[in-house]
Parts: sequence; C-alpha cells; structure tokens
Amino acid sequence: MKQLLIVLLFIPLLGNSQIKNTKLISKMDGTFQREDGTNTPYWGFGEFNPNLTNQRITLPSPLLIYDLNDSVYLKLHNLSPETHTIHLHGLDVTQINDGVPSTSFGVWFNDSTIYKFKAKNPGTYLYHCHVNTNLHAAMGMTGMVVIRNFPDTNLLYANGPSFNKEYYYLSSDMYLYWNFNVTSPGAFHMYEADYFMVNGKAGTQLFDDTTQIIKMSAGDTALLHIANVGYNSVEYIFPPEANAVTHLSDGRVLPSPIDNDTLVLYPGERYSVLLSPTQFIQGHITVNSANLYNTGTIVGTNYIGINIDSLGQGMQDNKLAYLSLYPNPTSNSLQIQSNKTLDIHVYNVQGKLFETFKIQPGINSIDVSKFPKGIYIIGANGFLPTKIIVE
Amino acid sequence: MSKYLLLTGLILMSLGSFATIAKDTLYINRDTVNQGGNLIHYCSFNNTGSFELTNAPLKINENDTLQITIINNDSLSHTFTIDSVLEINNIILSSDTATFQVEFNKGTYRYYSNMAYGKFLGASGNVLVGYSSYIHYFWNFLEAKVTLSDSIAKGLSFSMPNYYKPEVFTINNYFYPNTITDPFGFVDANVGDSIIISIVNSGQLISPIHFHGYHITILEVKKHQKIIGWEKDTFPVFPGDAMTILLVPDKPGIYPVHNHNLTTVDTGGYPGGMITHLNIMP
Repeated sequence: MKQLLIVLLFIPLLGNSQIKNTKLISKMDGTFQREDGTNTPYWGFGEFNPNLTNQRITLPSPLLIYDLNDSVYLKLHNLSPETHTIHLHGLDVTQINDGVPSTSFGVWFNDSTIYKFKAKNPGTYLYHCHVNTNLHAAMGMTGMVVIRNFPDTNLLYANGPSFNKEYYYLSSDMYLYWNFNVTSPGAFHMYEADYFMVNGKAGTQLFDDTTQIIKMSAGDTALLHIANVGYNSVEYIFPPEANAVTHLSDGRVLPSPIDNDTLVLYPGERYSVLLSPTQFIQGHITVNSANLYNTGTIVGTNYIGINIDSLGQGMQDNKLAYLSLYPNPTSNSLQIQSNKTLDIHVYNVQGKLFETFKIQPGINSIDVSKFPKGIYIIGANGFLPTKIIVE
Repeated sequence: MSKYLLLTGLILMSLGSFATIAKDTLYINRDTVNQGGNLIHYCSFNNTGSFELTNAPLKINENDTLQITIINNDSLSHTFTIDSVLEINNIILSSDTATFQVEFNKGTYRYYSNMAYGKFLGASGNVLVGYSSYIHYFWNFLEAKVTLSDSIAKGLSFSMPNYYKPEVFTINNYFYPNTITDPFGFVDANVGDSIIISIVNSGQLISPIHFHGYHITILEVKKHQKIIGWEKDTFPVFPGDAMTILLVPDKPGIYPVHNHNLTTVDTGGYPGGMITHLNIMP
C-alpha cells in the first residue's frame, strides 16, 4: 500500500493536540492492471495534488495516518458525476460526520465538505464511501486509517509493547462483473467476490512487490495493521516462527493479547498484530479469502512475503535451524542455505510431489533449469513451506 | 389433546437466592409474508394464537425459573430447544401443548424449534436472563431464500442447498426501514444510558455486525467465546449463537447498525435488509 502521511497543515497547539488537514478527491475513472494484465475499471479516492489539473485516484485509496489526539479536518472534493461520502469506519465520529447520506449528507458532483473528528484511540480503522455502499465499496472506494500512539509512536498504545517496524495490509475483494457492467450491476445481494487483493494487489503482484514484503532482522518487532473491507472473510496465517501476537482489535486493547498463528477478519474488522521472530524466516503469510455463503470455503489465496534476514547472537548460541532459498523467482539455479542436513521436498501447485533431494549444511546449488516454468512449494521437516517461482 | 410435560434444565441457581417462577405461554404459528417483494414462509413463537412476524423475546429475572407452555398451532411437530439447557424430551406434536420448566445463568439464550423446517422458517427467538435494571433490546438475525422457503413450506426439502444465496435479510424478521419501527429492536435511549442488547443469530450465515458512532462491550457469548470482554465496533455473530452486549452512548445522534457483509443490506432495495438505527437523545 502506498504509505501516505498527508499533513498539509501542521499547527502545534497546547499539549499534544494538533490540527491535521487532509484533502482527498473522489473519482470514478480509475483503471488498474490485474494479475493477468487485464485493465480493469475502478473508483476511488486520491490525494489532492494542487499541481495536477487531472487529479488521480489510487487502489486502495490513500493510507491516512494521524497521531493520537489530533483534530482531523478531512476535506473531500467530489470530482465524479455521482454523489459520494467518506464513512470513517470505527472512528466513532458524530452523526454529521458519519458519511451516511440518510443520516448526515452526501457530497454532490464538484462539491466539497470537511469531515471532522478527534483521533482518540491508537489503532487501525477504515474509510469508505457510504453511498450505495455495496457498489461503491466494491468498486474500490476504500482505504485504511491509522492512529499512532503519539508522542510515543514506537509503542502500540500508552504503556503498551514497543515495535520498530510498521506495515499496513488492507484486504478487499471485487466482483469483476460489476467493474465491467457498472451501469447494470443487477441486485446488490447477488455480489459474488471473484478477485481478491491485499493493498490492491493479487498473486505475484503482491508476492513479488518488494514494498509489500516484511523485512526484519533479529531483535526487530514489526507492527502489522490488518483490515478487511471486503465482502468475504479473510484468514491470515503467520509462520509460527514469526511469533504473531494480536494486541488490538477495532482500535481497542484486547483484555489479553492473543498468541495465535491464524487470525480471521470478518468484513469491517481490524487488528493490530506484533511479529517478534526468533528464527530465520524466508517465507510468507498466507491470506485466504472465504465466501461467507459457504462458510469455510476458501475461494482465493494471496501471499505476503516475510524475510527475516539475519540471526542475533543469542539465537546463534541456541543453534536454531534456518532455511533460506534464493533467488526467487529463478530460472537456472536455486540456492538453498541451511545450518542443518535436510530432506527437501518439491511440490507442484497441485500439491503433487515433484522431486526430493538432500541438502548439507551451507549453501546448496540446485539446478532448476529443467523444471517446467511455474510455481513450486519447497518443504522441509520443521520449516514452513515456501513458494518459489521458476521462470 | 393436551399433554403436560415438566422438564427441568440446568439448575445453576445459587443457593440462598429467592427464586420465583416466571410463567409464560408461546404459540407456534405459521404464515407467509411479503418481504420486499419476496414471499417468505415463517414459523414463529408468538404470544397469542395469531401469527406475528417477530418471535416473542422472553425476559427473565436472574435466578428466576421459567415455566413456559408451548402450544403448537402448526401442522408439523416442533421442539422447544435451548442449547445446553433444554435439548431432549422436548418434542411438541401438531396441535399439542407442552410445558417446560428451565433455569438459567445470566445472559442471552436462543430458543428454537430444532426441526429442520422450524429452523429454516425462523422459529427461533431470544431469552434474556438478568440485566433487569438495564434498558434492553432484542436482535434476532435471520436470512431466507425464496426457493428454499417455498420448498420447505411444501414439504419438498428440509436441507440447505450446496449453493445458498439468500435474498431476504432481517432483524426480528423485519427488513430496513421497517426495523426502525420495531419496538423490540429499535434502540431509542439517551446519552449515558447503559443499554443491553440481547442478540441471537437464527440464520445459517455468519453476520458481521457494525456499529456506527460507538464501540460496544461484549459481555457474554455462548459459542464464539473468544471475543468476550472485547470492545468492538464490528464483530461476528455466528449461526446459532447467542450473546449479550453493552452500549453506553457518549454522544447524541442517529446512527446505523448493519451487517457488514454488504449483500445483506439489499432486501427491498438498497438500503434495506439487515440494518437498524440507534436513536440517542442528549
């Protein structure tokens, strides 16, 4: 996700309270390229750029980051032919700022308004258009809001755990029929999610995007802001070695942290998760999307890369095992590095065992030039499976 | 013919409390209702022999014993089931009457007919035990698929199809905007009130419920207990689950509450379906 801290006006006031002004535009003329290369229409919000005559929107909409106790003035200028709003999902704003046309108001074409709220609780939130919400949210008018624990922005909340890295993952889905038939979408309840994204990306777009990969070293703690604005539920499966612990949900501290490698988010939910890996990891977080109409049926999967690239002295003393595979993608040879003798199993995407071989401690070069091009899963006892791509 | 059946559920009452017996009668009635252009067949537990759309919520003081008589006006047998409380010896034949005596812990329970047709036709409601000093409301979520409802009513099918895509989504069997005239479900209160909302999910789908304007505290849950004690603005209500939440509004306003699986807010057109409002006065 494009990390965007929009601070156009920054006026220190007494104490920690500050005024933050953000300007967004709404448009219905976006096009994004799907994983298979197909150009696909979308709608969204974008950061207002005074230097542009043709304002641009992004998928997902800009990430909005504010500090605790900020007084936020969020201006929306609607440049599209339909009415839009911004609903600040979970921020408990007043009725007039709630962005629901029937109880507050809508913003007409070429009109603008300012939504006001106080950033009261650190955590992860959403925003989305609440006009014909089914259609407008599905078309892409969704984004994430993060409230940082100012002034101790390295703490999750006051007196809470600390972190030194921060990542943002917004899960969403689309019903592509709507994108291409937006003037005749049919009954809204017939929505059928068939394209699944994290931060507007799917498949290799996400897995290969170096800006999306979690990169950590020994001793690092990473805060993951995770939200689901889709119709489907999403399941995040973390590598056990990442020691994922969930501390916040919907911007509130949980009664006790949850140490769980699997986290399910239902539509509209958000979580704040800390990763404190104790072991070398080169793998991925699996993100499964499940259709709520057939509970538990996974209809789409994405992967977020996670790369813990060095071992601390303490971990070396404990002689923890590690397994590293690179380069990925590859076309000729795959380097597999470990400090143990391991039996390596290579599976194709259908889950069928493709090849088995043994590696020795150190760097092992494997010839993959004769592998058919495609995706393979590398497995070894005691390690999470790792996806590699042979080009 | 009338049968008198006395059953005792879990006895969880603390010693030394002053229990009284709360008596109530419910009638199982059946009718067909036009829900936003969709004809849906319903079975309901009602306070009288006349069909009413909403299953009657039951409210019992903490430590009281409920003695309830069920009169089955339907042409088919039903049960009066409460998970973990009343699960056996509870079949009520057509035109029969049965009385059950049950005791509870504090919290929300779901009562229902455990016959497949009873469950699919919405014979299911709330029991709220305790919280007598609180303002309280009842939400009972249900979805319906026209063809399945019709098939069940005709006795042709009693099972959920592999592909289940309902069209009608309701709270207390009302779809929005009819939900905001529902005396059991429309929250009408003041800033600072402690409002208890008793929730059951009588449907087959997980309902992720989103509050505008406020976070609520989840006091107790029967099935998905992981979220007890959490403060949330969006939370899942699992099929068959029963839960009690606390809302203490800190500001006035009219705020929607709705299912955030957005396919459910389209009954009778958009906005419709599984939406209600909170009306919070200063």
